[in-house]
Order: sequence, then structure tokens, then C-alpha cells
Amino acid sequence: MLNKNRVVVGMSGGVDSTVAAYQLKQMGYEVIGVNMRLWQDDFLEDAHLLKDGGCCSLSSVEDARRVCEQIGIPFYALDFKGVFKETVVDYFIDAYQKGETPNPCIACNKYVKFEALLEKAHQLGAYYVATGHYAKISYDEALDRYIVEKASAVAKDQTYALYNLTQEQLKHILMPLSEFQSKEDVRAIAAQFDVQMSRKSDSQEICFVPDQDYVGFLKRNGNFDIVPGVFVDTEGNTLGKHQGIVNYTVGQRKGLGLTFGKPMYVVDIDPDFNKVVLGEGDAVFKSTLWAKDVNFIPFDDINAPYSCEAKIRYSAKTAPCTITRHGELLEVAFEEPQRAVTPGQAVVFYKGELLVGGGTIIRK
Amino acid sequence: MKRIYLDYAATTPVKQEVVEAMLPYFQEVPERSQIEKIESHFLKVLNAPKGRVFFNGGGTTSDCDFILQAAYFQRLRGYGQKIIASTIEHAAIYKTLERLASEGFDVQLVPVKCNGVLDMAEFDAIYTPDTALVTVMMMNNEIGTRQPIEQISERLMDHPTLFHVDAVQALGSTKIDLGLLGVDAASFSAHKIYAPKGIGALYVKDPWWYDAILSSGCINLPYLIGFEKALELSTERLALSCKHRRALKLKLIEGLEALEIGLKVLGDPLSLDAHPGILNVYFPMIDGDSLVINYDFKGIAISSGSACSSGALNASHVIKAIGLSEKDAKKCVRFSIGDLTTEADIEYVIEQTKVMLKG
Repeated sequence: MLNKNRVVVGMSGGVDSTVAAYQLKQMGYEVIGVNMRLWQDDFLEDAHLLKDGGCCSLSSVEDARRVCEQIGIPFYALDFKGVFKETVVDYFIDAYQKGETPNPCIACNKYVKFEALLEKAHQLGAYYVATGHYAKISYDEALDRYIVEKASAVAKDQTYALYNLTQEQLKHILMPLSEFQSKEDVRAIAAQFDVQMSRKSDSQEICFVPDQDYVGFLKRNGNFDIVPGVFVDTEGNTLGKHQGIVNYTVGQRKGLGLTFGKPMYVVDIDPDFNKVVLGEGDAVFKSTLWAKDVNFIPFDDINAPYSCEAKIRYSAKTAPCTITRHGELLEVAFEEPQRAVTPGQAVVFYKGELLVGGGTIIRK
Repeated sequence: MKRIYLDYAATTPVKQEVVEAMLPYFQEVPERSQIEKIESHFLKVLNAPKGRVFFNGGGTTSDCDFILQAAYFQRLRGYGQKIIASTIEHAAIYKTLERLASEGFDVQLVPVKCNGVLDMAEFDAIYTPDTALVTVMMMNNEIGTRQPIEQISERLMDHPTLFHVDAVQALGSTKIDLGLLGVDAASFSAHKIYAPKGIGALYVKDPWWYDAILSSGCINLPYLIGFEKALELSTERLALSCKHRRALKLKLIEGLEALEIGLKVLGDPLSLDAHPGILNVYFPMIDGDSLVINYDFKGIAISSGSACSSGALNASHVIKAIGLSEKDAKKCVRFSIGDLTTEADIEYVIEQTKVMLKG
């Protein structure tokens, strides 16, 4: 039933998805452009803060429609607001409430782009969903599995946010930007289309918080009070008052509102007692972490300690480690201590270029 | 590719006779008396006992402007702050009511029964004689149900409550007799009756307090001529047009039901007072938006009832109001049949639906 030559491309109107759609069209695929309506923030729209084109503003629909017209593919805007709220926004709010620092892109990939959008693609008869992610997906005959490798444009590599995709999902995903050597090469192709290059910022970390004020977002959308509490040192001594745990993340030094005469960092957030623990430089380094909700890609699971590399946030460097299963959880022991191991963020494992898997860092 | 348009409830193409009526007026300097003549014509055709028709940019303008002015006027007069509407109104009404609610008005929504008709028992429970304004759509744009306007009028008689009817979808699809309806105001739009977009009308029975200056601007005379011509044609051919559309709707329902895929038609589309061209169908196996796209691939234009040009797509509040869950509401699509629809069109749609859903 599903047409292997038909592909639905998630179109934002930005450079990456535009070039992804164009490449697929050139390769002979029957391409359908879809703009995903994910979130509507009446507050920001009223305040005209969405004017620079967060992924949810109207301008991205118009941008996406225009480039699809230029590429010569059909275009549709589809509603994913319900699933996005349930699986991304609610999770995001919940994580902050628990003192964690969430990674909404990972949840969005897993539940929205490669689940809800994929289901729509199937309803439209398309075998594949494609995005403008920088990652290589291929089928490995020896393993009889789909594998993911880092993109050729190493600086843009986005495999970190793809670690928890299943085999069934990977089977139906195309990422045509995988072979580009750099973002510049992608931009060069995008230049022939009327793409708003400057408007779509790469650094926009949370698309539904385009004004970057996630605390304001939590106040408007979270169903809980942000309660001030105390800063303590690693010995438990009170150091001062904090503005509510959602304002802090592990490793943070600036914006604490206190001066100590020496650099102090957030080393732990204790949601049960509403405390933020501060420590000196070395206290923010840890050699071991624990992860839950683990997923592996080239194999189902590990049955013995496994040596690989890991990174503990999108922007971190990979570091050698050994991972060990303990029931539902995974213990990750690094050779060198890692700075700011942050509950809620993902720890993602690699073997060279190969994406091995990952999990969510927990507070233990 | 063959193109079949089945979205007449969204908008209609301009008929040749309407275009021909309009053309001479694009280069003519309008005279005030022409507009007055047209206004008299509208009042006569709509059988208005008295009052005025103000021309403006369209149905949305009519709805918003009247509701805002009526609410403020009633407040100024010292009447209550209560405003009543149904749960199946158009966004033009809701957005306006939201604003009034934020300004302290007490906005109450009366639910509809599962057949899509306003629940009069609920209305009676909510209505009090000090209510400032009641606004109810005459025929629903998504499921086509006719609302009990005459019954509501009866309840409001002898009270200072103002009664506004959004008759945008009703015009050209049922007889509109403003005298019998007993309303204080009614909104109309030209582009639902084969005239151009960008012109509408607002009837107001006692217009002494209503100020049209901000909504009317300088009247677009050629469009108004087109509107008048379209009104004349639709009135003249009303019975024939309704019969034509009803027959095709019945054919479509029978054809779809014969596919035996568990679909359900919403509301009561075969009832004689329902909108003749609107058919809303629930498909259990596929999302409405996917179905709309699949039809589009086949050259068939329909709507998922919730689609809107801005790309802001939500599950239809109308379909949720008649008791479907959010999830089921997203599995509904609206077919709307017009004067130009043919039997062959309906046959093609049924055939393609079969190909899409039964392989």
C-alpha cells in the first residue's frame, strides 16, 4: 500500500528543510511538503514577540508555502498541537518542576516528527518521512538493523537528538542532508530559493519559547507555583535565597544573585526540599552518572559492560566511558570527570561515527 | 487533472451573470441614489418590516461590528451585561465575544443537542429578560443545521434584549424572511451566493443607535451591484437550487454509505430545514486532514471543517459541541455542494473515496 517513492517532508521554510525537500525532488521522489503546526502562544503573539519567526509563528507557514511553490511540490499545513502539547510541552514543564533541565527536541523527534508526522505520511500513502536533520541513516546488512552515523558536516551533526528512535521509525526516515560537507554547501543550494536565511536562527534552542524567557513560559503555562527557596553549600549550610528552582540549571554560575568572592556553581537541584546546592569549581565535575529510558540503535541491549564514548549535552564533546546495565538503569563511568552532569538532559553514546544509543540523565 | 470543487460553503465562484452585471460599474462614478436603491431592494427581497441595510466588507465585519456596538449600547442604556450565543458560532462571533468577556460582559454559551440544534430548554435556563444581546447563527456552516430562530424571537419579544442572527451561510440556501424571523439584526455575505468576496451586508431593524461609519467606508459599487444581482438570482432560483443540491447530497450519502466503511453523517443532513448543500462526515479510519489531502491529490477540493487560511488548524468546536471527542472531531470532513456541482462530480467523488479507502 505505502508508496516507497513518496515522501512527506517537514517544512519550516528554513534553509535545511528547503534543501532536504529539493534534494529529494531531484532524486526523483514524489515529495509532499508539510508544515507542522505545533504551538500557539497567544501571549507572545499579542506582544508581537513571534515576529522573528519562531517555528510556531504564522510566518513559517507562509515561508514554507512559498518555498514549496518554488520547488514545485504540494504543500499542506497540518495540526500537531495536541500531540506536541502532550509529549513535548507538558514534559518540558514537568521536568522543570522536578528540578531537571529538559531537552524538548529529543521528545519532539521521537513523538512528533517521527511518530505523529510519520503516521500522517502513511495516511497519505508515503513510505517515508524526511527532515533537514544532519545525520546519516543506513541499513547495515551484517547487523540486519538500521544504523545512524554522524553527518559529514560534523559541526552541524544532530545525532544527539536522535538516539531514541526505534528500528521501525528509522526504516521510514530519510535525511538527505547527511552527505553535505558543511552548512555553507547547504546554503549555496538554498540561495536559489526565496528562503529567509537570516530569520531562522540556528541557535534557537526552544522553538516554542522564541523570546528565550522559559521562566516566563513556565509561569504562563505551568500549573504550579514557582516558590523561592534557599541556596546551600555542599555541606548543607544556607548561603542565601533563590528565586525558585526552575531558574537554575546544573553548572550555572551567572545570575545567581549572590557574590562569594570566588566562582560558585550550581552543582545540584533538590526539588523535594526546594534547595539549590552551590559548590566550587571541582564540585561541578562528576565521573559517574545514571540514566533511565535507555535506547540502543545497532543492537537491542548490552549484556556486559560496554566501552564507548558519550556526550552529556548537545554542545559537549564526546568522552570515553564504560556503560553498565543495572536493571532499568544504566551506569555511565567516564575516564575523565565531566563538567555539569545535568538531570533531564540526554547522555548519548557513540563508537566513532556510529550512534550507539542514549538515555535520560537522572539525579541519584 | 480533473478538478472538482465541493467546498461551496467556504466560498463560491462568481457567476457569469453576476460578472456581467458588475462590469459596467467599474468605470462609472457612483451616485448615492444607486446605493439607496439597492438598499431598498435588499429590504424588500429579505422582507424586512422596517430598518436599514448597511453595506460593508463582509460577514465578519457585520458580525463583529454589530455585536460590539450592540453590547456597548446596551451597557450605556443600563441593561444587563449578559450576552448569549450558541456553542457552534463562527470564529468571527467568538473572537468578538472573547473581547467583550475580557471587558466584563457575562458571555454565556448555550449548548446544542447532538443533532446540532440549539437546546431551547438550556436556552430558557440561561436567558433572563435583562440579557443585553443574543446572537445565534441561522444555519451552521460546518454541519448545516438550521437553528430555532423563530422560537428564540418569541422568548425575547417584549424584552429589551437585542437579537442578532448570523445568516451568512443561510443566504441563498433557505428563504429568509426577516419579518417572520423577528430579529433585530442579521449578517450577510456576498461570496457565499456566487458574488465576489469583499462585500457584505448588515440588517438592523432599529438603527438609530448603530453607527456604520467605521465599518462601511466607501462602498465598492461594482461589488455591491454583483451582490444585488446574486441575491436576485438566488431568490428567484432558490427552490430549484435547493432541490438540485439536496438530490446530489442524497446521492453522495448513499454512495458513501454503500462503501460500508463505518462512516457516519453528522447532524441531520436530510432534514428539510437543513442546509441543502452541507454534508459533514466522520470517517473512522483516517484523519480528516489526511483525507482532505488525499482528495486533493485526486483533484477534489473539500474541507476538514476546521481548516482555515491562516494555517491554524484545530479540531472543530462545532463537531465537539455535538458530542464528538477531540480525536473523533479530527476525523470529520465537510463536503459542500453548490449550483455548479453535477451528478458526474458526485459519482467521481464516491469512486475515488472507494479507491482511497478500500484500495
